[in-house]
Amino acid sequence: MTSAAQFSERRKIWRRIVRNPLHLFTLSMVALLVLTAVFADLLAPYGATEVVAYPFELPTGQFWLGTDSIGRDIFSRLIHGSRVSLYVGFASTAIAVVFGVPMGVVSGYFGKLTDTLMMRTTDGLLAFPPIILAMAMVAVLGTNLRNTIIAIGVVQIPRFARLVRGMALSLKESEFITAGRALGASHVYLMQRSLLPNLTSIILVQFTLTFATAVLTEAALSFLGLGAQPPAPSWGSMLLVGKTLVSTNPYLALGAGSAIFITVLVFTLLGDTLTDLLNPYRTDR
Amino acid sequence: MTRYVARRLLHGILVMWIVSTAVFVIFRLVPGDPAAMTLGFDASPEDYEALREELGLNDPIHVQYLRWMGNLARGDFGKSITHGYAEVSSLVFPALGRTLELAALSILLAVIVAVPLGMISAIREGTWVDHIARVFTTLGFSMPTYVMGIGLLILLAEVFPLLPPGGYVPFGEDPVKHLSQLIMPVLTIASVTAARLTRFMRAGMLEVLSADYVRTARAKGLTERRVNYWHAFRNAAIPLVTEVGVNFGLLVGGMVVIEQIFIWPGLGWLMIQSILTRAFDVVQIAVLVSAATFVIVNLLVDLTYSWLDPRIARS
Repeated sequence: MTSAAQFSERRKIWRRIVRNPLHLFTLSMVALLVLTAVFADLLAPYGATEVVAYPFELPTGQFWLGTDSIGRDIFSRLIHGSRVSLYVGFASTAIAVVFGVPMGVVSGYFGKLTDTLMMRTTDGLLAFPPIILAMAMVAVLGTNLRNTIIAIGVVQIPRFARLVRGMALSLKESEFITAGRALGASHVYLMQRSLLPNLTSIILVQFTLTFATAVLTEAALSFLGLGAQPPAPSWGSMLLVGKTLVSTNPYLALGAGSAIFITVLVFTLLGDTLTDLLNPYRTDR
Repeated sequence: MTRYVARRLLHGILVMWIVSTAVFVIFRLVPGDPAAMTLGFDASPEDYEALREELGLNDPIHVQYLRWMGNLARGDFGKSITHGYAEVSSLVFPALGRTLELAALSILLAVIVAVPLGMISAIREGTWVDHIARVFTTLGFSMPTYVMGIGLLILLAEVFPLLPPGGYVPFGEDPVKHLSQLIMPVLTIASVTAARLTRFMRAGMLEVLSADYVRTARAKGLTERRVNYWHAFRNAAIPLVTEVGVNFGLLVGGMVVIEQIFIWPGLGWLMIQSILTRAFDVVQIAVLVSAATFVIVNLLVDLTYSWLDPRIARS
């Protein structure tokens, strides 16, 4: 791609964003979430594990959502929680991409025995309900945030491998690959320089959807006591405590539940937005 | 058709073999062996050695693997050391039954809601009915089941104490209580599943409505009602079978959190309890059984699908 073409491509994407209010909304929400996570220390009135008042305080001007069972500010913990969620979401999805994408490219490109072996293995791994496989791994590895990230990431590897393999399989018959081969390009070169660039948009979309799933799974595991351990401000473990405190201060459960819900919603919408923005076949009026 | 069934069966068996190997690998080859995991950190070296010997962990790994596969093939799931040497199958299968009950009722309710809603939403595309249905499906898509479950719990057990906050009584003991305990978990799972199925049904229906045979049906003067329900619905419903099956399989595994919220002693609940009490001999079988259920459901779905649409088997 020449730089001029790249420039006009960027302008086209920019125009699509500005013209669609839903895209604008989604992207600003994503930016807001990411900024909240990055600047959590500056934004939150209190620290994540700081005891600031008596337990079970109801919302006041000072403590917007009240305090939890040991007197920590719920609102501040929700803000700090965004960091845990987005960090786990990003790190585990990165694991899935780093292992899943090469597996898929190699499997689709070479086909034959390599493909059969890899795809039968993913068949087996996909037969596990995702959260069950993650639970089994966390149970065996030990419950902490690092192992939660590994477990969630590993569960998603076969999903990426499958998706990429399907695309690679259809792309490898394209003329530009045949041409590359005729020119004497090596397999590695063709996979890296010809296949992968054509897969980026589909990988990017899958990244955001997997990200949403990862956030959801982390919260579920932490809710079950198998993820982030106290006093880490994970929305899932806050929901667990919140459930038992519903009659004294429902804002802990409501706050943590809404935080999870909004984050998942925003990243699911981001998937739709990216699909729309990066679709090369879409024609703008 | 026979060849297709045979091929699908073989594939199912192959997948089960990979699944049981994966479970073996996860529970044997990771740092910290099952004996150490069962006993915890404060066990004496003598106890540890004795347990290793008893579990056959001192045998070479390939012997252990063959023993594991052999026992599974004979349907012998072993006894649980941590559960007073109870048969693991006597723990896992009743729990599976309770999970299947929850899953089946939820799916049933979800289908009853989703099929008409998806159809109307497609037929009346772009109207307010469609918009409401789409808001409902988008929200349901992003609403984690456990957030929904806790929301219901707050609403129906705390704010308006209409229902028990959870628990389980067998149907035979107290049918009314059993059913009242079922309502909240079923509502929770069904509403989230219904959102998925509605979206699927709507998309399928929209696609079918623009098909040539629907245009032909309209052209030959059939009523709108007959076109929609006789020609379009029947074709749109076939892919729904797959979607229902996939959801059912996922539910069996995904209900861990719901069972935990409503204290429903299903397979997921058993898994959590066993993980917390380090009963890994139970955990591994629970993991295996939930995967097996998923595989079997998928197999049944594929066979049903090819029976409904014979073109699948021929290709």
